[in-house]
Amino acid sequence: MKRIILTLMLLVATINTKAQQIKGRVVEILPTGEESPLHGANVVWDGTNTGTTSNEQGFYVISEPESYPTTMVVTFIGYQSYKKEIKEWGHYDIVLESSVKISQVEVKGKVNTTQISTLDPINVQTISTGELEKAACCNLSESFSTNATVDVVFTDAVSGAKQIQMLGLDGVYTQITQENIPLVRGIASSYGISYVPGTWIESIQIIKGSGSVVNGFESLTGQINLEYYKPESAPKLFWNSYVNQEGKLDNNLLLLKQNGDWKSNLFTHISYFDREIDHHGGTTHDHTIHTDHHTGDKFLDAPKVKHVSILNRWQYKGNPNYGMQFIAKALIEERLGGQISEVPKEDRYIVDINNYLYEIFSKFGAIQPNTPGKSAGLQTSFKLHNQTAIFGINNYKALQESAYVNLIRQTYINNTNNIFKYGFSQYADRYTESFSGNINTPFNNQIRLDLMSGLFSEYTFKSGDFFNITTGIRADYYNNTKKFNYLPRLNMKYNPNEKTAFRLSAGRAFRIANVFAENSSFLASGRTIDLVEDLNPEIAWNYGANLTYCFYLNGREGTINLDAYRTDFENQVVVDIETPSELSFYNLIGSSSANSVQADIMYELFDGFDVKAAYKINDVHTTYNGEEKISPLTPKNRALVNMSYATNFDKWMFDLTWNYIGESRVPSYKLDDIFGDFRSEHMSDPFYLINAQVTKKFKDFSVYVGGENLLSYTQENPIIDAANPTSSAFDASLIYAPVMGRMIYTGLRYKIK
Amino acid sequence: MRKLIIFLLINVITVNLYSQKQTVQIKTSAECEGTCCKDRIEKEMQFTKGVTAVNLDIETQVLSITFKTKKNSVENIRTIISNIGYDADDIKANRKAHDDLPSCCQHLEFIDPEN
Repeated sequence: MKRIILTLMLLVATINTKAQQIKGRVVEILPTGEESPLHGANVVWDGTNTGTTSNEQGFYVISEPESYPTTMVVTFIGYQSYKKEIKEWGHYDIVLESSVKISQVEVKGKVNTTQISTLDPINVQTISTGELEKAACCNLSESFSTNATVDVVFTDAVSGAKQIQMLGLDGVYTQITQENIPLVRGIASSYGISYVPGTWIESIQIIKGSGSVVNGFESLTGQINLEYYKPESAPKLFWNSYVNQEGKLDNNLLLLKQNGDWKSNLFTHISYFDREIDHHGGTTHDHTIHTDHHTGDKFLDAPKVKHVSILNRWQYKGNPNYGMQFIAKALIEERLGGQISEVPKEDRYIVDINNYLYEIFSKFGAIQPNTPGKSAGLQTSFKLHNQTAIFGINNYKALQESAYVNLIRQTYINNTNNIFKYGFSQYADRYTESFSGNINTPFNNQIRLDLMSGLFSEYTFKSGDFFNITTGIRADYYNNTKKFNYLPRLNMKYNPNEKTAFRLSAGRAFRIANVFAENSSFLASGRTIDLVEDLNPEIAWNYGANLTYCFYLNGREGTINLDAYRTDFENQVVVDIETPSELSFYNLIGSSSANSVQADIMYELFDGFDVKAAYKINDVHTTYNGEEKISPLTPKNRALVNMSYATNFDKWMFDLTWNYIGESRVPSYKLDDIFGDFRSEHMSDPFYLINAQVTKKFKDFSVYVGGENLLSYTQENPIIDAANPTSSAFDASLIYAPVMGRMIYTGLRYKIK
Repeated sequence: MRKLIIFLLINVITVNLYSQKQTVQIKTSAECEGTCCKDRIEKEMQFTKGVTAVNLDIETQVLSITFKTKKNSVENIRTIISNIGYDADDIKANRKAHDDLPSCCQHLEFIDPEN
């Protein structure tokens, strides 16, 4: 919802011609008498929703108010808010005074690479390019390695797929969007987040809890939105090249072109890895000297990958009253994993995953001339995704054809303190799936058509800057259940003072599960799939509370953030791996819930040295066949400490991230087929992960060297019964720790602005 | 070991003693749309020897720059600015360098309004 406002504001801001803008600069006066620009100060017309923020140099551009005289309100965290009566068009410079008077000490208005706002009504964290560059490689899944809210987990030991978890629940319960248009849906669930190259991304917003109804029905735990580089902010040319110790190559090239009123971006990405690596996984016990030797397990530690993707955006800027843009994307990926070529071909366990994905999406926005608060937007997206996944004898094939339309109208009543949004959305997804292998009911070209027609409306009430409430409801009709799903949402924010924000959220969301595509990691096992009943849509309530507090210590700003969220399922498609050698999918009978509590602190210890620390407790329970248990392979405790140091002008940048991953429950499993031995249910060992990176910046390019998993911690015997891939005990999906050991990489970024 | 530390300390101190810093303000002709001029000059200055702080005020086009006097001089910095394509105090911009700048970074007066 805030997102939409922002998008529309951006549209408004970019669409307006110069004559209708008021410009100026927001600065503070340093004790030395110098002016220092304030970046990120909010400039709004009092009582309206028309506003902007100042840029790095303190400059702001705001559209002219509807009438004069009016009051301009300028706010910035840590500074006294400022009001000025504006009688005519002109240039207005604003001097803010610090609200924290520390004599003779300069209060730094530094911009952090990860920001938690105290003004946004929704609990949203923004990750900027600076933060993204702290982890060089390679795609969206790595972008969260310095972030405590989103956890990245390996799903199996053969496909190299990574998934995210938020609030203790799988990534499928988080709505992932690109520029607010659905990105990872349907059969893209398992590999989708690795499809977005990190260097294409300008920023990421993470919304915890139920967000706005405007963006759809699927955000059970939250929303992750990514913004690609825009034609107005992208470098003219950006080239990134990466190589790691095992020989994985990554290349990204971003180009910008302007053609009259049209601006265009072209992004390309190539990833190539074609070597057989098998350092880990096996143990042989030498009885003569009573020691264990760590060897390979004859399975590739990481699959061979060939990946090419391309994105082309066209943006029209010719008319002040409307804007439009078109984006086309294409992706081809091949993953080849399983046993090494030393194993004879006829016996070899092969993992072969191919994905072809084509996508076109567009956005239109129009504002009512002279009333910037009233606008309309139309988003459309068309997608074709073809996937084949072979895991030994399990063979899954799927085709997804999707169309999406979202029409949003924004208006206000009396003044922009009362904003109304309403609209209509239509999702149409057709899945054609085939599955053969370890399953009680194989199927061939089974077609499912999902049509979701939705109406939504949302009302935002604002009382000054300190109180804000957004209520919304959407009703989505789903053709297969022939039922309306009513999804109410509520978000409110209260600022008791300028440094504190308190937020509450509650909401209901639903989604339709695609069990084979979403759980393809479990196909890397000898488990027999049991799917007998029709699966219902997953529905859950989410409730959350958040407290953000900015503090000053020794003249430096810090942030403390406390979160508590609960997700309560009304229905869930339970993925049951509790019985050895079986994988069952069924509708939840009983309770299923996830509680997540997180505490974060961010502080700049001294010039250029930032510390971020977080601790998180996830308590996730689901009822498996009448018995309530802790969710498997989900660590209850996690901690993260990130330290970064940058020298003057960021010429050298050092980054160190330390992760603690607590114990997770591993369900009982068969050790082998022949003797029928079992390993009973147990808790995994907790472990630590350390990542580090050093970047040296030169005038036009920068060079980085880094390492992931520096302690080289790997899961011992990640593949159960690896010697017999055809046995029912074989399992490569009980993964709670890394499969790859220490990984050193280096790379180069070349930018022309 | 101890000797080494003392030696290093003395080194640091002497280096600091000799690295006198000077802050000057230079009036430039960096007047252009957006932050293009500012970015260009600041970037160049950040990678100029001895420079420890730099800021170009867009409104006044005055560049405030701090540098180590041992490593650089005001004259040299003015020359560098001229070679980027902007006037620096009394030193005129290198015309060729200026014309090679992207159009958004060129001085407004130099751009033919017909274009």
